Amino acid sequence: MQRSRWTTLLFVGPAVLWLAVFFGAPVVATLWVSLTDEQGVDEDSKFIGLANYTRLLKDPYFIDTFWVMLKILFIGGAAVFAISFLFMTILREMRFKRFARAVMFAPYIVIPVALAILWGVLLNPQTGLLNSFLDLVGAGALKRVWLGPDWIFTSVVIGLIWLSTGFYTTLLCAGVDRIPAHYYEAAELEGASRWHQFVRVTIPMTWDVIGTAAVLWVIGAINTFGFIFAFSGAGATPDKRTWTPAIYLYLETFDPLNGSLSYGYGCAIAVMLMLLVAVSVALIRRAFRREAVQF
Amino acid sequence: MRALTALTKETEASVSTTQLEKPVDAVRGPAREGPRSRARRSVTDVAFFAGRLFVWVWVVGTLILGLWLVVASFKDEATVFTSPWSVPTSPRVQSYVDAVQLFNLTDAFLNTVFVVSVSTMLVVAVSAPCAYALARWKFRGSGTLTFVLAAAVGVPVQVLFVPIYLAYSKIGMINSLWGVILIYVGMNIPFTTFLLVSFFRSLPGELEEAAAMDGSKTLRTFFTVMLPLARPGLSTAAIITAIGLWNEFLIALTFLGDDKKYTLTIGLLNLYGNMRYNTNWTALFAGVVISLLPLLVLYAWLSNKIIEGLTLGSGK
Repeated sequence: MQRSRWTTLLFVGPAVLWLAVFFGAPVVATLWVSLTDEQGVDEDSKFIGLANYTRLLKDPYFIDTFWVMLKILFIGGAAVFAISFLFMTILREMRFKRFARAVMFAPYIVIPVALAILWGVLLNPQTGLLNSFLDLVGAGALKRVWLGPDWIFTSVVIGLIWLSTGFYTTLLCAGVDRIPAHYYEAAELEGASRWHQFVRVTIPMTWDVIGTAAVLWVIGAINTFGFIFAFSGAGATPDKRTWTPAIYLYLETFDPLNGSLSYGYGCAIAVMLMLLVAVSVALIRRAFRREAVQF
Repeated sequence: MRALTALTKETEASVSTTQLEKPVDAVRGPAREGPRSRARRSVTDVAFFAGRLFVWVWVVGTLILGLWLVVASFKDEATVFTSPWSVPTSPRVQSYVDAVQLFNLTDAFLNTVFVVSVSTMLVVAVSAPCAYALARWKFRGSGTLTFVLAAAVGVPVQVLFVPIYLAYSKIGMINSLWGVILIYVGMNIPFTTFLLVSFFRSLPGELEEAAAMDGSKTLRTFFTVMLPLARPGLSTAAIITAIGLWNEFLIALTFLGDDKKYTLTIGLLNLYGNMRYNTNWTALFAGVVISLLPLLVLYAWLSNKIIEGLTLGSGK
């Protein structure tokens, strides 16, 4: 087909230009600002090398947020994947499968702040639905101060599990639906138990989907912001026990009440986040790499 | 040294399991329908029953939570928490009036509609030609561009927004909806382009050849042949982008501090924070219902398309 260089430019140019200005340039600028003591537009900033990064590694707040993130990543992740696998198995042979899946999935497309409000209403120690329900069924002994210091982090993690599981279940279901039925029929004929079918057929055949799901979970967990911010702060500053690096970055950089408006420091946190995403994605890719399976 | 022994142990272990595998499988043949396998089956049945119960508790729990909120938005402030499980005999719409008047959700709603629709149209308009070029043509830099787009999909927004904030405050673009739109489009181009590349690849190539034989120019082929064919893919991309932006939080929170410029997410956050000072929970619930309604209607109508687009799109 005849096509001039100008045609290509016409098709690709706008996207490339947009990305250069609103993606490429900001990434480079973030790297640069993270090496300065930038305090704002009106202040002069100077190059301070890696000082922001060394400060970061010694900052007890940042180290706490890092632990919070790791706990969400691994404990929350283990729960989300365990439940998603279970749901996927159950949904495969359940009536009203589509309906159940659609309801489970719904939180994923709902405004995180609205979910946070809903979760707060459910767990409020005085007026919350959960405690009132426990009273109603005579299990008042199980009532807890769900939003208090002892429980707030657990409440956040369970909330994240609740709103993510539907998405991962659906993702796994989509992978399983692509497996030809005759694999299971053959396994059935061989007398393989369900557990055997799961380990020998389902897992290997959905391996790539599981890998993708793991990558998405890691990216999502590292960046998670809206739900935690709104839930543990109830519209104000979030509880310190639930600060993730992303929340700490926001407060340090943009919240004059809680931070120092230190843009350079914030950018250093951002760069750490990006490195973290890159390294974990590379590790997961490597762990899940294998020969392509054709089916 | 220790690592080495561990390694040999591991290989030994794996060897022994592979040796064991065959006999175990052979034993578990269909011929042996003894009492033991029946017992195993009933255990599986119980496990499946428990699992199904768990699924339904999850689904019904989620539904009740949502329905409770809708019902609560029609109750009055006095009974909403004192008798949380009661259903009001006469629905009260005052909360909706409060949400709109006291908390000025109209502006937030209109701002959100404006920002989301303009950004979505721009994202698709900019991404579609680029995706088409990447899917169909080989040109200088196409490999690099694909790589950059793939890398950009995983880049957290946090890495973008500080310098943009500094630049915007220099030129007075903070609190500008257009400023936010520019960022939103940039954020969404990588993923949307990816989604559309795989979509354009799935379209048959003969169509363009036929169009070219008829003497149709590249541009005309794109607009009159390919774009109409790609409509399902474009609409999926548009819906996914729109949902993501309707819910977007971090950029809106950072860049739109003026309450005239709030989007719904920030309006809701502000309303929620207000409950500390003047409690009007039913108005808050009404606000939540108002901001979720468009999405939930869309979801009820197109749930399969939305679910598919979000999962398959990210599965690629």
